[in-house]
Amino acid sequence: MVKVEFPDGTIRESGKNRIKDILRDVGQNENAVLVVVDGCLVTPDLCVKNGTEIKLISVVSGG
Amino acid sequence: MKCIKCEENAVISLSRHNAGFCKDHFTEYFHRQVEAAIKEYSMLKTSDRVMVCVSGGKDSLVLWHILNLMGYKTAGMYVSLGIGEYSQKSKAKVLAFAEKNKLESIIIDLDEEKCPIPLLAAKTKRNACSVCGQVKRHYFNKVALDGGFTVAATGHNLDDEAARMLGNVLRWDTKHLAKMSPILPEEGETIKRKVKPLIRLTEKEVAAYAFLNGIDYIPDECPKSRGASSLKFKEVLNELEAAAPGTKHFFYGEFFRAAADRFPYITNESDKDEIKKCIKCGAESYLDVCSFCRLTEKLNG
Ligand code: SF4
Ligand SMILES: [Zn+2]
Ligand SMILES: [Zn+2]
Repeated sequence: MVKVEFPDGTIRESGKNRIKDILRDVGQNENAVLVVVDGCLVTPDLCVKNGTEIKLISVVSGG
Repeated sequence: MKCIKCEENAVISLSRHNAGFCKDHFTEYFHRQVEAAIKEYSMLKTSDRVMVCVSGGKDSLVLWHILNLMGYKTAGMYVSLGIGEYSQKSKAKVLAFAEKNKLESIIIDLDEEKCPIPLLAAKTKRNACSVCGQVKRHYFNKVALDGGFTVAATGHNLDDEAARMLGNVLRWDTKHLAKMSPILPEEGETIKRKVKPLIRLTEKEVAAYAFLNGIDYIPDECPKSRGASSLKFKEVLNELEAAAPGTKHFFYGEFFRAAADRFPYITNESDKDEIKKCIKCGAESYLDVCSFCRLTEKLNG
């Protein structure tokens, strides 16, 4: 399982390994978030190991 | 994915270019896009004194950062809206950014001016955002005039403007469709030229630039923006973009080639009477008392 931390701090898990599939799995559009693994930005084609923690940063501002 | 230029690991992929970039080459790409926008629309001259309208959010601080790197003479102009913790936090980000980069900041605090947005909205029974827009416009114009600025720059990105365009098209709001250009001319002595140098960059690109270049911004949204229709439009555009990369650029950019001439820009000056000076604050106005002073008068009523 991969742990996904949302911008609001909530945590969800995903059984997928490719970032693109993980985002789809947790219902996030890849244009609406940055994905950070170990403090680095990563691209959607990257595959991560089980147990990895990924952090999402929202890019959308309102107003 | 590898960087298209140097084979390092990519930190961002741009589907519409079918390319990935490492940090350095993304930064280079980003700067080139800003330069291209400035050049394409003749937004800025090196002799300009640029007022950067900052909110403490990613877009405006990235814009300030980059215009400063490019050598423009800038000052950040911030209006603290008096919206609780959000205003305190965003003001702190602006001040910290200015201090770190040794830049001039001009702060207007609506609590000190005794007209915080929540109070004005309650007293006038108007929507906070519409009051806020009017108040910010007043202070932007005033500070630009008093501070000898020649142009006002805002951090609007492609997503902001494509979402606004979509909203205007859905309502066939011809008045606002006439004001979609990333450069608007000056009017009278008060209203300065307005430019949007980040117009070629998506919201995701701006956020990535802020992250990669250590620009510390407030990630929280203004609490009054909850449920804003612009957020829904952005969501829809992101769906379309995922299905057909490049849609946002095409939708926004093609408007100017295919349709903008049907919605000519009409200045406020051309359709009204003679312009005067507000007897209370000196701002340009078509009436003896300007709309801002009429608004704040309601606080004493
Ligand atoms: S969301 Fe509304 S109240 Fe908040 S800053 Fe934007 S316009 Fe002003
Ligand atoms: Zn590279
Ligand atoms: Zn006035």
